[in-house]
Amino acid sequence: MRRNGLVSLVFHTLFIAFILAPLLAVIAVSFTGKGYLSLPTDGLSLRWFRTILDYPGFIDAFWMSLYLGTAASTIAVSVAVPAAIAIGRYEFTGREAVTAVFLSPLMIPSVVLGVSFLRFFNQIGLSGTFIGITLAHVIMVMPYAIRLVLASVTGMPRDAEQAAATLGASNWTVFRRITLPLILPGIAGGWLLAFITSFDEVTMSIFVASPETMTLPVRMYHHIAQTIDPLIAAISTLLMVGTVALLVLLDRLYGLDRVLVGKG
Amino acid sequence: MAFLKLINLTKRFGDFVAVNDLSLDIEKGEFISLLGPSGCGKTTTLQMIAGLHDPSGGSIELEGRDLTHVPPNKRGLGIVFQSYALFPHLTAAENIAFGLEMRGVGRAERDQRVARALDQVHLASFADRHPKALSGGQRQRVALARALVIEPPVLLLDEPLSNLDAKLREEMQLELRILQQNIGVTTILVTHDQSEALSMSDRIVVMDRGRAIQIDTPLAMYEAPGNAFVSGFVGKTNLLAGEVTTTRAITVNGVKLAANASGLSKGAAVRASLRPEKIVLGKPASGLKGKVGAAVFHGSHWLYTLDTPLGDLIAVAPNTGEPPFKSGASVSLSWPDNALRVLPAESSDG
Repeated sequence: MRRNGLVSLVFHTLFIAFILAPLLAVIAVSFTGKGYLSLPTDGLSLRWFRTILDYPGFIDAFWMSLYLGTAASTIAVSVAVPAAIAIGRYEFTGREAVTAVFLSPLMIPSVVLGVSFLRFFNQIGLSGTFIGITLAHVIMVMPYAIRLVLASVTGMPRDAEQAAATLGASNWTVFRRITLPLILPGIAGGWLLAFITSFDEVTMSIFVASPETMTLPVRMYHHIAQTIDPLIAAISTLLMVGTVALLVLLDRLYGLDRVLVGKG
Repeated sequence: MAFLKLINLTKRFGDFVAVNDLSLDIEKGEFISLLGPSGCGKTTTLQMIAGLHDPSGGSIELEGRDLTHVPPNKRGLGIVFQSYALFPHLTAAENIAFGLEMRGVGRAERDQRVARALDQVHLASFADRHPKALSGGQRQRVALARALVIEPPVLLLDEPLSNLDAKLREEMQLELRILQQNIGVTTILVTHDQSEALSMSDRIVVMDRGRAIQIDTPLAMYEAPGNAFVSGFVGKTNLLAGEVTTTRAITVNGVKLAANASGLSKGAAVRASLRPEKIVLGKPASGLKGKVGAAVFHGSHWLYTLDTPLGDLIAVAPNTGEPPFKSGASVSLSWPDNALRVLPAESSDG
């Protein structure tokens, strides 16, 4: 293996430090015992982690985000699989247009999406409902689901499907027994990215969320808007721990490169 | 009544005619090779038989039943793809069991038949390996076992050996032929490798630009090629351009050679095929003389390039253990009269 030169070593170290420093700062702050944002220079405290339990609103919002992320990414992936197969396999009129529509939420600013959804849901009576915010999130995360599923569909060899058909499998059986298992890494990766996107989403959700459907990021945003205390740092630390645990688990089960990069 | 009939089979992709009016009767148990250069329509023909392409015209009949528009999963044919097309997420045994499962064969019988199929292709100890953990030759055998285990009426092989190295390919040719004869399954092989077609088939169909040029047994194909394309494609040959002198002779570069030119008019331009191994080299004597260019050793035989009044020729002589003719040596050339084959002129465009 080639060794890094001094310059590149310094560069990479700085680069990684630059990315990790804010996260490490947040984690450090969450262990403070003071009532304001500060680094815990005089001893560690779990005070702010205990405080989370005094705010049931955060706990509810966490579950809301979890349900919402699960529902939105599952629906998005269920739509993405047939859509990706159609886009990746067939030539049809309007193919480019359909692709563009599926990917367009990436290009529209979240604020614009949020305002539009707010207006639209008011009109059709979905404003403030779980269904409403779920639909909004489905559209928001669709590009991620489509991209990853599409990559695995186009990378999948067609001849295995043909072989299955010649061995007597019906179209549905071919899909269930051959196609689906072979594009599963793409589906898992798409679902995961969609979930993370939904779980993180603030800008659009602020417009669509009602007190009953408030997601964790929105709740945190509202909290910061009023007071600044290390509570948010404690919650962020817990989220980071949870995310890392999830990624480690996923890596053990499937291999992260396979899921996110699509390597065989 | 033929077992499998292709009747005026045609496939067009837009303006391009991939397969043009191909008719072929195949007997039960026969081993047929579709031989031709890439783009000649041989694979398209196989895929139409398999049901992976819809013919643009003509029909396919198996034992009198019209198969033309039957979907592939209802045809019940066994197919080995060039890429093997194994299911990467299933083990060798699961790959082979797939077709039986689709036919609703019970678990006990399935296991038994899979085990027998694995045995047949000498892979019994690799049953639980995934395709990724198998070598090219082993994958090829799994693909073959998967196609054969369903006991198909017809086995279709799409260049099944082209991804193997030369030594393994030769072994597999022999093994495949023996297996095919033991089982007695009607087989259609697509190949661009003429030696593969010659060594394995009962009959060969030479195809070019979507058409069947000649359908014959390997020996007849080799000895009596119907035209210049076939003689050039099946085996090595020397193609000589000349004109008809009498019905018994042609003239090439001013040299008169005995050949059967009956039915051709005097002065007509013709091409003649002379197989390299028919040329007998000897010490300089009367008759046609030539000069040895290079002598290339192939173990069982020597390949010579020769500079002769007829032009540059190649000749093959068996290795008798004696030293060969040296480069630059003068030799005499002779061959049996019937070795020089005059080819019909109208098909000299190959």
